[in-house]
Amino acid sequence: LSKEKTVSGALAVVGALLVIGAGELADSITVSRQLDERIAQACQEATLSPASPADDLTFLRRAWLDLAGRTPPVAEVRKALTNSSTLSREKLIDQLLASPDAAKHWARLWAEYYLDERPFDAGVYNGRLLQRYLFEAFQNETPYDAVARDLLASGGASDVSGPANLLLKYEANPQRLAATVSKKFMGCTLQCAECHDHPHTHWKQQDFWGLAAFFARLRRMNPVEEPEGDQFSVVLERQRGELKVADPDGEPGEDGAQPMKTVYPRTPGGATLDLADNRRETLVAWLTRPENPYFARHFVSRTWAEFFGEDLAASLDDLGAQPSPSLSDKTASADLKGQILDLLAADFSASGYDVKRLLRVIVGSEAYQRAAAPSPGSAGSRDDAAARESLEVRCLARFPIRPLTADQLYLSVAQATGFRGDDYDRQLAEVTQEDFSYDLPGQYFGAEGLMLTRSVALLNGDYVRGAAEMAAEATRRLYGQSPGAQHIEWMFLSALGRRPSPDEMETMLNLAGHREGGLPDVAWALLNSAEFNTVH
Amino acid sequence: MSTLLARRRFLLLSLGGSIGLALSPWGRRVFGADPAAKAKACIFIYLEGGPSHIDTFDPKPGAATNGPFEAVDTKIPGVQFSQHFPKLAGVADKLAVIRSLTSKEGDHDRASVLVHTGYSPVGVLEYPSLGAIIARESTADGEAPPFVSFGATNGPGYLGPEFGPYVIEDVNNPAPNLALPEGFSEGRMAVRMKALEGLNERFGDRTRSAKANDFTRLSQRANRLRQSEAVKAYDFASEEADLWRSYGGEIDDGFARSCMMARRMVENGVRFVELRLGGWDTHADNFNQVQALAGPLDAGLSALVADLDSRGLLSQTLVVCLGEFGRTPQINGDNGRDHWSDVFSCVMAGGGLAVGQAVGASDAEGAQVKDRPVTIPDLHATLLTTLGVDPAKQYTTPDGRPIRLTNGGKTVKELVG
Repeated sequence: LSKEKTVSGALAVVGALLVIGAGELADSITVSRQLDERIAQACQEATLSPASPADDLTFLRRAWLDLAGRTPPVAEVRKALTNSSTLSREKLIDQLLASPDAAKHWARLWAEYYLDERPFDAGVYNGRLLQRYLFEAFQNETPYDAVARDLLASGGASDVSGPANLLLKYEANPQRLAATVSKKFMGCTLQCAECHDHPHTHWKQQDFWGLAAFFARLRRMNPVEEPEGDQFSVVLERQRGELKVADPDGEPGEDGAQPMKTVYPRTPGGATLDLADNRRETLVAWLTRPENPYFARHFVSRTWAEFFGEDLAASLDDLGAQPSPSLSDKTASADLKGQILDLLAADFSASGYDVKRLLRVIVGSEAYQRAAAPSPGSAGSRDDAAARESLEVRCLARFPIRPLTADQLYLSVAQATGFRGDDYDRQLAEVTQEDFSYDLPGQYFGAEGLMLTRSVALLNGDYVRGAAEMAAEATRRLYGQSPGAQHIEWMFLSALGRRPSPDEMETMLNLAGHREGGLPDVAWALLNSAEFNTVH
Repeated sequence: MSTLLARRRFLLLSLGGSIGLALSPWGRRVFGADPAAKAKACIFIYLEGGPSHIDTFDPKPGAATNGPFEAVDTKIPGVQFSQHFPKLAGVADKLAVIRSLTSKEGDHDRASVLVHTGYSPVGVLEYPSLGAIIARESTADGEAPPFVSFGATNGPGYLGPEFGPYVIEDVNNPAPNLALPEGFSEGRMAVRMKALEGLNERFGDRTRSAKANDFTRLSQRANRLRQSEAVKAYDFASEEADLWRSYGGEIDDGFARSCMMARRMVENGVRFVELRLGGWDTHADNFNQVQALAGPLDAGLSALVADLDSRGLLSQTLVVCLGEFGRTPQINGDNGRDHWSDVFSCVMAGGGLAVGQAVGASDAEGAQVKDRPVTIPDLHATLLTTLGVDPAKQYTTPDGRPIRLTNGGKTVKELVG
């Protein structure tokens, strides 16, 4: 308990720095600058000069992919090209955050995270309804602590209540929900303490079982079958009942039955609390209070990973035992990550868990807006180029190039070519309702990132072939049958979000006019390119 | 009685399996591994979810922790399996069992990383899986991908995407997208590839990042893979119905097919195949579930060993089968068993290993290692040694750090000799 106090004390200090005047919150841009100061210091210590800012078109594409899940439409690219003044990045970020694309993108990421699978209607629970709830939460800017309360302390029927489907996914089972809370809301591996005290951390068995006991009064009405054949389940909280677990120290009963003992709710590493009628309310209140060292940090850490490809902390288990998770790794970059984690978590909880503000702070930082290419001053020899790239990325001196997720790739191919696959018409209703109900992207491009399987699909799959044909047809309709510079330029704008360079134009005109080539071959080359397939 | 039956089944199986089959093409292949190595390929069967060691290969007859399954004798004197593995019991003279595996990872994700990479996950560095290491060590630059996985698995980590697996999502359609469409010439593909390589080169120049090269190399490998025989589908049910049946095709078509395809890939030059049988996370109703899973595993693994043997491939092919951990000796209130990593088991075959033995032992309850603890790094060191790769070898990570292939693991001498 005293250790937790140390951590929350440190958090409070950082938090105080962010507050201007009496309880007023600093602008998100002020926090972005504080973030950049820490990074600048780390770069200086590592004698790295940070990369220049990315140009407007590069930033436009990057922000669209990371905030809205797909590449920008041609019209947006043309607008940025024709505007004489520079792009207002702040305005773009606001526009994107307010778009339904962004709500879809983040709802999909969160739903998959909470469910550990692609959301679908499983009958016993409805993942898509949970996704719908998360979509609305993003659009309505519901604070994350309220989202956590909805997800963990609610109840109801699977076909009515979106959040109840999280409880139902884990069968309203106390152990499974304790593991879910610890992993997905605290970033800890408490579930290892289910059977024995955690071998590597300070977690004890009583921490796990105490957490599980908060869910002991949940009851699930197993799938109710309607006359029409559809199913639903109900989860609700009773007013009595306690968690019973096997007692290894007890005496077996007369009939040889395993001895059991009662476990009462107790927060991990903490004490028993005064319990509300709905015990889960008590748990959520503990989880989401600003002094809780796990809740904000965990959300910040995994949100960061969506922009920079890596969590800020792999696990927060050590948090209760040490002042900062960074201390377990002495490298400068790990220390930097610990500092960023503390800073962003303090601001996130001070803001009342304002999710869009957190995204604004990250995307508004110079670190996020840097070029992927190193600074001109940082010219290493060719031999150590890879080592240098790795170091620069870890110190956030340049933007890390990341492969697109299958969803980003699917939506970006659709954006670049208008193609959504042969199944598209049949599934149109479903697809437009909630983007895509099941895993079309994974089906076409494989769930994993940059892998041989995806390369084969891009290289020779029917899907990309169809998309390339459709892009060619689109340019023919716009600019006529005979391939020319306009055709090529449109393809570059729609796929890469930029105009071709003169030598690229020449190469592609040659390919389009080649005896064994054509416009689809140009589209194919663009869709297969490293530039199209990465956030950069 | 059941052992006798199993032996008879095994005899039938090896006869059926050897009729009318092509000779092994090993002689024509070139491999980059140490010529002294016994194994040229590895088939890694991952029992996802963590099977109970007690209910599979380390029964505890008479102990309170044993549960309802009986133990049966195997062809290894003094070593028993659970009653639901009669076929494996019958080929146990060709198996080696480690009964003293131990680890500290009791979470599925973390333990799975450990079992695949030999390292517990850390935030700063992603370690390559065993398959990726073998791909990296493979100098053969042919059409066949060096590393194939049925379903997603751990990737190449810091080795880079080039050494990642070719993932087969659908066992009935293992290689979609390989054949060029009718009328599409190789010449046209070559023209496309040249244009693509030019684009990537310019992107690489602009960003000065190694990532552009990764893409080009992957596209080139994908282009070679199109021409590979190794991953193409074929119809087992009609072509080799008896063999398919012996692999347990009637019990679990998917697992039987993946076992058969693994054998065929190994014949065609694939160096590491991962396949998996999931569903072992039996927190409730453990015994019914284990019994249901034992059927396909018993049939598939025993048939694979026999089939490889009858084709003369077993001595060159290392087969290893394990989950990410074992399960509690205690049976919980739901008649289930929970995660347990203090002691668990692993079954191996082929690859020139010293088979027909059990290495190490758990205590009378199956709760702790009694004799000769074997860690996951030890297991990895053993697998690498068997495959002709020095486990003490170091790679350099992109940021210049030297990392050993195994995390201090020591080869299990009883197995490798």
